[in-house]
Amino acid sequence: MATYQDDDNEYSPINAKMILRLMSWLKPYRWLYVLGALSGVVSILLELITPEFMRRIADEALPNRDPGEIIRLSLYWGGAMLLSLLFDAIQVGATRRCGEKVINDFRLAIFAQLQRLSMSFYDRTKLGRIITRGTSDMDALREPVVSGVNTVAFSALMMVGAAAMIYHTDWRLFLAIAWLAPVMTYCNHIYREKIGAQYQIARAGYSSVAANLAENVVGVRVVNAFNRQDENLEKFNELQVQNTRNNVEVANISGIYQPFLEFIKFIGQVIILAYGGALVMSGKLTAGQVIKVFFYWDFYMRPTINMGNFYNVLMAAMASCERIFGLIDLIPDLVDRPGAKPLPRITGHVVFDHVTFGYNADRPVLHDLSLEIPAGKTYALVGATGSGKSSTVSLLARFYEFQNGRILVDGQDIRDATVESLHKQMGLVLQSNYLFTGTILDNIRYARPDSSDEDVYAAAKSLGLHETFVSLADGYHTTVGERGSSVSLGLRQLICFTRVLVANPSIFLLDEATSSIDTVTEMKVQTALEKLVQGRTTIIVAHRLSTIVKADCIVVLEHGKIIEKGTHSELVAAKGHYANLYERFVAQTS
Amino acid sequence: MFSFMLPVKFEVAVTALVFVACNAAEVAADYLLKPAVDVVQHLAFERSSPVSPESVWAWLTTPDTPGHALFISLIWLLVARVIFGIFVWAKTYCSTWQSMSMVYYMREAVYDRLQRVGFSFYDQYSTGQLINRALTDLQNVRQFVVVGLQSSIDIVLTLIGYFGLLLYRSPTLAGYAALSLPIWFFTIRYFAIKSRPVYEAQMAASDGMIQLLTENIAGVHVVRAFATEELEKKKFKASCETLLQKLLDGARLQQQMTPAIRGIATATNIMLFGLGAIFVQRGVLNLGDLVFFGVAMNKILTRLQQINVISDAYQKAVVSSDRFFEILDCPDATPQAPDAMPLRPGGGAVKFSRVFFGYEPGKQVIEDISFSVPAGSIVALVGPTGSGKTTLSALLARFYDPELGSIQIDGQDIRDLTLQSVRDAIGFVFQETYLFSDTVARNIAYSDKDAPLSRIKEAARIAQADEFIDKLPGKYDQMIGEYGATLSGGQRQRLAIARAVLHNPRILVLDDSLSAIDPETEAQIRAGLEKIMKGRTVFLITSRISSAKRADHILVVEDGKIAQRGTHDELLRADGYYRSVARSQFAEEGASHPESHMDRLHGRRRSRSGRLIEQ
Repeated sequence: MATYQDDDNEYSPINAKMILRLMSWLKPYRWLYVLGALSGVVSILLELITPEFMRRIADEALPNRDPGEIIRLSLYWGGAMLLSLLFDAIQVGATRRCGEKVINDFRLAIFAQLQRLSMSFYDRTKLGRIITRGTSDMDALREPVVSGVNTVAFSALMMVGAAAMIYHTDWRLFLAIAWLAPVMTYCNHIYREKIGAQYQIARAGYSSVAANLAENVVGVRVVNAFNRQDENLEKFNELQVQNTRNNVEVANISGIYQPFLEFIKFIGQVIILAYGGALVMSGKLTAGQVIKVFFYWDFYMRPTINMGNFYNVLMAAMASCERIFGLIDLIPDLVDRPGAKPLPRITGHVVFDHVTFGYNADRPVLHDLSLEIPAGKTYALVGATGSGKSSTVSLLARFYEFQNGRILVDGQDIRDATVESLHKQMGLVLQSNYLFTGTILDNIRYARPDSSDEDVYAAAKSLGLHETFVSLADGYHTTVGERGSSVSLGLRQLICFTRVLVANPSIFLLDEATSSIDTVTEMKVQTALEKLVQGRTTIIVAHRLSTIVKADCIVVLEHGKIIEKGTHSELVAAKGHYANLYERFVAQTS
Repeated sequence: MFSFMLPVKFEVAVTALVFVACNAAEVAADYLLKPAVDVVQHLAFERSSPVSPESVWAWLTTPDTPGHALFISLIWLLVARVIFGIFVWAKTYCSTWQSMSMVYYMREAVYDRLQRVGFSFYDQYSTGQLINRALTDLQNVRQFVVVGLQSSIDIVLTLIGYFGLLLYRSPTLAGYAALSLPIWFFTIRYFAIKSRPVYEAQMAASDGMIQLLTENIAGVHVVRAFATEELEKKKFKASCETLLQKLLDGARLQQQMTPAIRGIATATNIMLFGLGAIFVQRGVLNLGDLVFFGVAMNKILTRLQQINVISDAYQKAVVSSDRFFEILDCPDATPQAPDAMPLRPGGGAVKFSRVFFGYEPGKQVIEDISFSVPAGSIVALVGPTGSGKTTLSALLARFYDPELGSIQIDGQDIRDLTLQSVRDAIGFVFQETYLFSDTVARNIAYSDKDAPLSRIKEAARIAQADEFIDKLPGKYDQMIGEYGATLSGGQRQRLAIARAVLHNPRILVLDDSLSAIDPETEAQIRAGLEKIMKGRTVFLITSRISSAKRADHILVVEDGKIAQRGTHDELLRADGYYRSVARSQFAEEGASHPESHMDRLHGRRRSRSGRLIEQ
């Protein structure tokens, strides 16, 4: 099984295999991409011929004192430049379209993968980390995907073209400046190494500043309660001083490099002008040719100067790329078995057959658990924290793969059925009572988006909740979810119940809330619950006596084993663990 | 917004000087091209004295020849370029130094404000928003200072320097050049205005996409349980499609803008070059001036392209700095009195007198609550979620000030006391356990970083945390939190209890903080706490009757009022919330409770009950 490395490397070395894999995502848009690449080449070739017009202005038009010729050549020159710009625009547009589409494909692939990954992945991985894959990692990828390969290829083409043209114009001038290229390459190499390392240090320093701040904001109550403000500020400022120093160091390195390149460029210019001037003097060259070489030298240097920081962008992209592919390549621990069939409509007869399970295989939470639940019955699971109640429910919902035994629904092993078909016939309400941002109406018909408003009203009415929903400020159109946090816990639960009724599953799983809600809502919850369990197999992780007493069967769990089973009166009569518990409870509460 | 610069006046002044010097050096370096080119032109047209390449050096160094003039001007040029290069480095350096120093002070200010601003502020904003303000918004402001402000200065200086010189060399040509500037300016403005709604639409679409992603992950159980994966994918795809369209709109706009702006630049340059060539031909201008013209126009137009970026950065910075100042300007929610005194020693008697409080005006959370607790008692606050139990404890620690009424600790009004002494007196174990990314030992010794290991171990022992800590690979030096060992909910709660124990408070507040701890351990923790809290006060906020029943006094809080008060037995005899909840809560924790502990604790509580003084 693949493990998911959830590290936060900011930079990674350039990896050819990764780039190739990245490029393979361009396949669906290859023609657009080729169009972009070709336009880019045309644009560069057009730009490369423009110095020739300058030469002709200087060598032919100026000495002939012919304004018409100057204007004509200027127009040619301008025309070539504008055409070049046009092709460049086509290039930029085409590659950018490709890039955005590829990024979009990545986003969809990640989302699809997130729908496949099993619950254990979500237990391990922080919400924020997962979201980063779809947001900032995408942004980091954008630039290299959109313009990365092109930037490198076009820069190389420009430099080779310009160098060739210099050689073509005059080999002596070419030789006079050619030695600057290896010097520059060497310096570039040193610079990249230095700045790369320094960037990483700076990023890490900033991360610790950000992490310290975030921690303090999130834990502000603890900070205040324990009077740690002064010490924390001191520590924060230490991190800040380091951060400032790191950034200034980056500026120091990049601040030297830029003028250094400019200086190299200038040295080249001086050589061209001085030696070129001398060549002109000796009649071996025309002034126009010197001007031409002068401009080609400019063409040669431009990409070199621009490329300096592209390397860092690329390294950041590589790190994002690693993380994204890491997520996409992750094999879910829980997938449909080959040949898994959709479940037919089930009655809801559930059998746990010698089931052993642990989130960590070495530490079982359920030991050899066997339990049969006839269709349509309500079973309450009772036991202390960590006795295995929630795990039992999670296994039936097939959120986790168990290590031993079988779970049968209507006689069929749930592992031989497709997960989707199982879930379609199952309703779940957890303690968190999660709602999506939207109206109550949207949330109720979440599982059946095609159900009409009337279906929703009918469901709410049958649970006796219609009036409750109508009486809210905006009725069924009241916004709930993350942004509508003012919705009380009780109301959230009522919405979740109605949602389950609309889905109309054969099996209903409920993890009852432990926190108490106000008495009026509590009554509504109880009434709605009674109606909801009718005609469907129900398993409740129960905390409330009223729920437990009404169950068809109470299952008492301890340390992952069933220690007692029966109806309330049976168990009380049996004078076992449950009876003991109940007696004490009665003694304390009456 | 510019008030950010005040603490870094010196840095700003130095940076400004370097900027001026750098621009002057740049103009000078470019202008020194002119004499060199003039010599070349002279040579080219005169073709006076051909030299062989072999004698170049002699040609360059013989005094009073064109070659020598070229040589001298090249040397000057070289000197100017070197000076310019040094200034460019100094400029980058200073700009980072100045902006980072500014950021330092801003961040320090916001960090400190966030620590002291009081919790009402935190109720208005999500922590994510606050972190964003202190980090992203601050980056935006810095970005504006670096990219925006410094570039603006750069542009102005460049314009003044080059254009002044152009005007001096050839007013006619400079006049033509000036003609292109308005066209340029308005084109940039046109695109800036056009792109703003596109960017806004992009932001909105991106927010929508992120929200879908977030909710899908947060609600993963619901998605799986209802098998709505395909539906979710469809929704997400639609949202991505919208985002893609908006991004492509932006790309299209840029595709129009880039060639338009560069086209104007190119056309201007070529027009001027053509014109200049004609001027040269007529002898009105020499070639050196023409070359300088070309270079100067190039520089001016390149710099002007940044106006777009600057206006973008400015828009962002204005919004960001507003949000930033919202934090900095927020007054203390619970200001300390100028003549505040430290709390005098005592046993932790607490008195609430007619306290009213609401987080928002018009929404009362606490209404007219009065009670008094003698030192050394155990008080349980019970009631439905949202009834105001936690708020009462927050008021006690002066995390908020009541609107009306007063709160006293050991007979002193907490508003007359220093905040530090009030909070030193109270130990909190919060409902949501928060631990810092640090070692186990430092988390426990959070309130006293110099605490000896023996005290830390003792606190851990009382909180029943010593056993699991000893099993950690690094024991007390084990890192915990995001990059360290993962602890279970119960283990985290026990560390939080140890932290509060080490704080050695006279009042201990346990806010639903035993919920993830198994009953046996809970009983042991209670026994340990009882020993160390002897003669001090414990507040127990809980929704479990089984926890509350052991308290000396129980306050039932409903809708911000005290609905019932008394001992467990008294409340069970009365009709009300307590009894109805007690009867519905068949608490799971009883299931494996060892008899001895239950009875011992229960008996003890009974004997100490009845000390609540009713008002």
